[in-house]
Amino acid sequence: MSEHEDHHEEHGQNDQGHDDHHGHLQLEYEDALPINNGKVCLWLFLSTEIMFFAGLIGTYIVLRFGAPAGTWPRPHDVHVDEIWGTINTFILIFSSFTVVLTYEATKRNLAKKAKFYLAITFLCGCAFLGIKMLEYAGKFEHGIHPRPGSRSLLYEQADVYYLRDLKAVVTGVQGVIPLAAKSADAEAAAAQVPDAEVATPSSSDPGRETLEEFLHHSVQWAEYVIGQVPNTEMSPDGNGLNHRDVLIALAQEVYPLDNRYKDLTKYTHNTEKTYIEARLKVLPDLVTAAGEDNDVLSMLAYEETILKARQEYLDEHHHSEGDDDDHSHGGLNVKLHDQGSAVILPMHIPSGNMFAATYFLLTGFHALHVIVGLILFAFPMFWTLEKSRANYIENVGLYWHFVDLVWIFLFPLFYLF
Amino acid sequence: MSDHDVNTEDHEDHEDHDHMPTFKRVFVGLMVCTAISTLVGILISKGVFDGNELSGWGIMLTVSCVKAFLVITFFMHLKWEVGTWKWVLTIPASIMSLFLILMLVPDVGMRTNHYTDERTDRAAYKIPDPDASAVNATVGETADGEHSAGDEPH
Repeated sequence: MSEHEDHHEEHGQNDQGHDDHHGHLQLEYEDALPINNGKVCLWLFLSTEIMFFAGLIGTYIVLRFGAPAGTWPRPHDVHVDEIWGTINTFILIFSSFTVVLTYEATKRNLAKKAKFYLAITFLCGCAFLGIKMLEYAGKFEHGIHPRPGSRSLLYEQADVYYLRDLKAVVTGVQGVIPLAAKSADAEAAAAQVPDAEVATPSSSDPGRETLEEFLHHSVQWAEYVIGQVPNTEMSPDGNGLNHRDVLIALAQEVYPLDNRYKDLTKYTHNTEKTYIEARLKVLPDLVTAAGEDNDVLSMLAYEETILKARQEYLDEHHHSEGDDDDHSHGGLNVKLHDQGSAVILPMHIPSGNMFAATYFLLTGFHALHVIVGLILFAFPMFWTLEKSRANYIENVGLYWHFVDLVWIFLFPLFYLF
Repeated sequence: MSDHDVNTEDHEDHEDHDHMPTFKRVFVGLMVCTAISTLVGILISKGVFDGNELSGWGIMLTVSCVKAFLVITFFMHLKWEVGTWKWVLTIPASIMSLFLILMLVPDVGMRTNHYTDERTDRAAYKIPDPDASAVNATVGETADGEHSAGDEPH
């Protein structure tokens, strides 16, 4: 022993191989674990992954259930379709099954069969990602995404700030002319309209007309209500309108929330109608009283225009109330989207931003894991899958099953709740 | 590398009875579970579970746990693994993740339960006040409101 040690000290630095001959002690090693090192490492990694995804999923669950009733978007509110989720679940479970088949075939040295199952697994992974991509694209198209750097389109509350931003977007579209405040302006505006159309025939948005109508019969009406009609929420006995309800009803025109505010909207529209009728009866008297005061007269004329625009809209709306589907799905944003407009109006979706943040974070991390899995599956596509490759296949398979496991929880949480 | 292979070969020999029928059954089970979850989800969106969505969610999460159990036990071979290592690597991680969730409950999950009046007024959405069931009667959640108000008159 001491001889060896001296020897080692003299030559140790250069003589790398020496240690191998060191052991006349005849140490006998026992396997610490009855599995190979790769599998130990993979399981260690998976146990950290359990905590990683548990943290993410747990945060989502706690946020979701902690939200007061009715303040978290239902799947259909945010373009989450359970059909795609179900298809993706089937695809992923099926691919998990084919990984098992790949492993079993590899173990039995059935290289061709193994390669066949591996190819199916790989294709399933690609299909999953493809569907995920389409889903993401659909949400982006409808403005459902967290927007770093600028304001989100998802509003917690239908309040005056919502109205302000809504108006800014609508009037920001080229060629959208508000109802004029004064009759003189109205003529000027009317004169301007053809000019604007002639000047910018190609660049005008396909949804321009829809937006202009919306501005006239809804946005400017809401603005008028906020500015001039007494708020019955503050003084319930007074003659006026509930500002909060009017704004929520306005938001439902843009983006109806899965029928949640259907009754409220109906009720509000009826009160609006009553108010407008009463007000229109009073207006002629006011005009007489104003005499020759031009400022007052023009204001009253403006008021009449707004009231009539709204009345007209409500009457039309009332007629089409018969077919429920027309109202409950769609909304202005979908209409604009179908018209090929580039404009997405701000939407009132309580907890919408929280939803978007958690949805994209969780499904994004999951999709990232799917991509890594596909890369790991890509290598053995070029190998002959004989028995010696079984360890690799088993380990990648374990990882893939874990990815499947995560999706098993994501699917109901995002698509079905 | 080579000794690993030898290792697994040894291992397989006594483990090599055909698990295929089991795997097929597990696969079918997973599909059935998915169908159940989807069905419950569709029923919820159709309004069948209105008022007790919680039970629908409970069913779906239970089904998910069953699916997770099936995948871990059979597809990930944990049932046939020998030794304590499988418990060492999975149980502490699972407990840890459970605590991760539980730790969020008081501050995040119950964030609106104890708002001050001022904070409630400035909340982004109208928060139902459990103590003021009379006011809430208009909102439509009368049963719950009355219950909590009756039980705990603060």
